[in-house]
Amino acid sequence: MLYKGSLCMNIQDNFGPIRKGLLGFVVLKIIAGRKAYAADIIQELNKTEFTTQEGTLYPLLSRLRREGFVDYEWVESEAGPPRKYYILTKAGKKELENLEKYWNGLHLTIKKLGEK
Amino acid sequence: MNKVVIINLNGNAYHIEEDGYDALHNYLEQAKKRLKTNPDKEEILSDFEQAIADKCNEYLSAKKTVIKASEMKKIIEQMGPVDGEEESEGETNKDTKESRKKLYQIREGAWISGVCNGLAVYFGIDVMLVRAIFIILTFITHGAGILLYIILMFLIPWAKTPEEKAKARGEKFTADSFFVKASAKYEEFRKKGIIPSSISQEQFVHNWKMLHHTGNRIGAMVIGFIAGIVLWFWIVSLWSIATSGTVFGYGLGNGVSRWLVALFVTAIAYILFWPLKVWIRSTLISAEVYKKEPRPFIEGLGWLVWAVAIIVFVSMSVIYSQALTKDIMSLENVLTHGQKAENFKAKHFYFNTKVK
Repeated sequence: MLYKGSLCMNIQDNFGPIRKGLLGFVVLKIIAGRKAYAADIIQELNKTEFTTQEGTLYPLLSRLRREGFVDYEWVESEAGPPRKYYILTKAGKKELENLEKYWNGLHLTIKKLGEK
Repeated sequence: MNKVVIINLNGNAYHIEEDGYDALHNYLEQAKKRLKTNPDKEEILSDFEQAIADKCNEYLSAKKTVIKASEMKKIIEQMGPVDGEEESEGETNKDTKESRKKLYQIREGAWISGVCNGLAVYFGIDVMLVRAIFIILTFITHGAGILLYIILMFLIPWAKTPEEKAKARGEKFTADSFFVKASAKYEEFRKKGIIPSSISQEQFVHNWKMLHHTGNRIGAMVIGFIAGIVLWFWIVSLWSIATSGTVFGYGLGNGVSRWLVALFVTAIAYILFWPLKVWIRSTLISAEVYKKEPRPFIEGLGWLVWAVAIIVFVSMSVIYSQALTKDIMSLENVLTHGQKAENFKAKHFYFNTKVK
């Protein structure tokens, strides 16, 4: 009946803003891996620490599209209305490369800090 | 039997129970507000409608054409609050809104109704401290503390949805916490090789939830068993009083009215039984056997009667123990010695003579 958080819940909370900031990067990575419906992206994210809700994802996808990093095509389906199929644009691929470089650099920096 | 509203979600008609419609309407109005400055506002809103429609479809079939209010509320919880902010400057606004707590009764871990629990969380102090204050208050004011508790029980709403529960603690509402925790467990088990990759996360989370529910059901059965024992004792006692004038072999002395003893026994039984019943109910709600919280008025009434039962039990114990220690069995003697309980003397006299 009562859920007790483990000690590491504190770290999860502290990294909340970081995960939020990385969400755009993470979503671009997923779309780069394969063309995706919004529901697919949510499913992928749910397997990770970046689990996200529709209320957050849709505005984000809109922003990425406005910035020219992703685009969508309408895909007809027999049972139901057409759906948006998201793909990465050329600009999006470039942006993803930059983000990867920056992220790896950050990781390396943290790794090296404090080393003798 | 609830009223149903027909709505248009992105071009398709859906039947929703009225309460569910209200919740959905609120959600979409909120979304509109938060997306006010967003150039893609209309597009995002239609994306939301489609996502909600997709989730609705999972609850529908040829044999079930209406979305229940509880299902719609679940869907809205899954969707989550709409993220309208573009700049991170919005964070400061959000922060002040977040640290503002709202006072709710919190049932998780509550002893009775969740009043002390809710107050403790709201003021950021320990629950036991609040409970201690209530008890001391009750002693000082000769029982008015119980009255205060009951009043609060009626006034303060329960935190039911995860969003309300987060608001009670001044936290930001994130994804369904059970799902997140279960997903984390899934990851952990996968890493340790306890689960093969053939089992998907959905499967695991579902099974974990069922396990959780089963645990709750078993717990409820155990408590129910204890409650049953209390009930059985009560019935046996009453029967014993009625037929042979004894309670489990204890003879009742002269001048002790059977009705009073019956009342006494009933008070004890109710004092034990009612909290058990409430406990069972909240356990079964956790197990999602009952979907609805009991109506506050009815549950409040149950507690009111419980308080009365305690008062009856305490006052009768006091009177009768005084009578016993002074080796006095009849109430006339109690009166002659100028004992208190003036309120009771007329009643007892009446009962005494009536039974005799």
